Amino acid sequence: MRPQGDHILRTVATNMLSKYLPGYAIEHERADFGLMAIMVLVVSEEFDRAAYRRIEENNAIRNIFKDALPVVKDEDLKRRIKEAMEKTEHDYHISALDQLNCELQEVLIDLHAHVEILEGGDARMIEETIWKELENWTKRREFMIWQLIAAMMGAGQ
Amino acid sequence: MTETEIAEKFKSYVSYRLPEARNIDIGFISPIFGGASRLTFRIELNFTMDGKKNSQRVILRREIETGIIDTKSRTEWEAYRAFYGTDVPVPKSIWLEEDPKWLGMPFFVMEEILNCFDATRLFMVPPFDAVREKIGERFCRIMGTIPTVDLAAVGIEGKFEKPAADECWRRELDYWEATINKKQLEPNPVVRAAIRWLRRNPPPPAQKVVAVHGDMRPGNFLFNETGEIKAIVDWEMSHIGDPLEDLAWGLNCDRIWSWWQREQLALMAPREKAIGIWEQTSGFKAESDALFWWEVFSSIKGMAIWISMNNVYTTGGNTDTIICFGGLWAGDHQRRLLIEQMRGGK
Repeated sequence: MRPQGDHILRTVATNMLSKYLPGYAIEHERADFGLMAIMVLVVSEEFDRAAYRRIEENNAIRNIFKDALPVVKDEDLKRRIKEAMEKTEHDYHISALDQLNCELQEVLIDLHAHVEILEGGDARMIEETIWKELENWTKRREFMIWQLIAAMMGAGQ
Repeated sequence: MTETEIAEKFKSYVSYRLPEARNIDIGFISPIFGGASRLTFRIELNFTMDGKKNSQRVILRREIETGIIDTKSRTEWEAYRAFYGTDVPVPKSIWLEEDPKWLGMPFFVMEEILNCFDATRLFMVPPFDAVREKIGERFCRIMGTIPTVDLAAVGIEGKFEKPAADECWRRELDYWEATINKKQLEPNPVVRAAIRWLRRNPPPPAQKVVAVHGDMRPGNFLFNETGEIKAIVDWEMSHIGDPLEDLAWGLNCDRIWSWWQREQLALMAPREKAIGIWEQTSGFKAESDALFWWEVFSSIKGMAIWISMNNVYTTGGNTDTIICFGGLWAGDHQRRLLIEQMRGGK
């Protein structure tokens, strides 16, 4: 599809902000309309990365599972990790990728809680690997659009 | 319910509360944009009493069926009543109505504080940039004054649950973790790791069990052009607890609201100065490990609120754009702050 979705959304939002927003005389209506435009920009940012960030994260989590498996003491958790490792992306719709991503994250949470209470260097290493992944997890969900909004607010004063 | 309907129903309510009043009229009604737990309206109320014309500007705060925070009008009302006339400036409360027959949900009415502002971004521009440090100092002094009030003397002893000093942290953490459990729409591994850390590393018992505002942050105080703070508002999360909770929440929220200048409390005061003023005013110590615990807790409480916003928007309970924006914007910044706290510590 050309123009692509994110391009359309950015253009729509720009028109909302530049052409139509100044026409709103009532303060709360203007603020609400401005927020709608911002939400369109948020979706445009998410549009391009939505599949990528989920697949990247699923791979990262499965790699952690592979490294962690020999360290895990709990048999039920071990079984769940093995099952999770075997789940791969067959359906590339965002809804399907998201569901798989959520399932892997749930197991990751339980693995993290488990290794936290284990002693030994291997457990610490896995724990540190999980924390590094959680830093990436946070970064993948960051929106750059807020900086643009802050700049717009500053320019609008 | 539309603004016109609210105005009509409120007129009926006023005639019930003021049976001697005549010619009751709503001069104007205007919603205050941005509330997540209350519908808030600015109202001009006109009436004649004993032959004399009266015109009063009031604020009406009505509960929302699908509010972000599970909080009752009475809680907020009791806090306003308690602090009125103390060194903590608050608007004068007028009526509390818990019978839903009037406006569909409980509500309360208080005086409007006129000629004031609440937006922190104003601190970046004249004339407020010149007085923002003055406002910051005053904000910290008020924040330090709240935990010094005598609970019995101001009348909230017995009205709010009073936890033991070593139970304050657990009660708050249990409450907000339960909120996350109930409202989350997707896994939050950083939040879960932080909650486990909080439970493994509890803070020392509260130095004293005191009044807590629960939401001391930019947007919840009204200031004027000369740098005075005329009122502290939005007491819906007020409770009795640890004095460090308000300080930590203030520091935490200010890092979200003014995230591009994180070490300036709401663009008003450097962090260390803010803590110093709070300690001096309150008489309590902000010991760094204990304060850090409460700051991490504040990130969890924040996440619980942003997750609740995402939930109520997604499930159709409140489709106001501000709810969608708030949950995404604040959630993003809170996650960044939380991972910094967990990885970098203090």
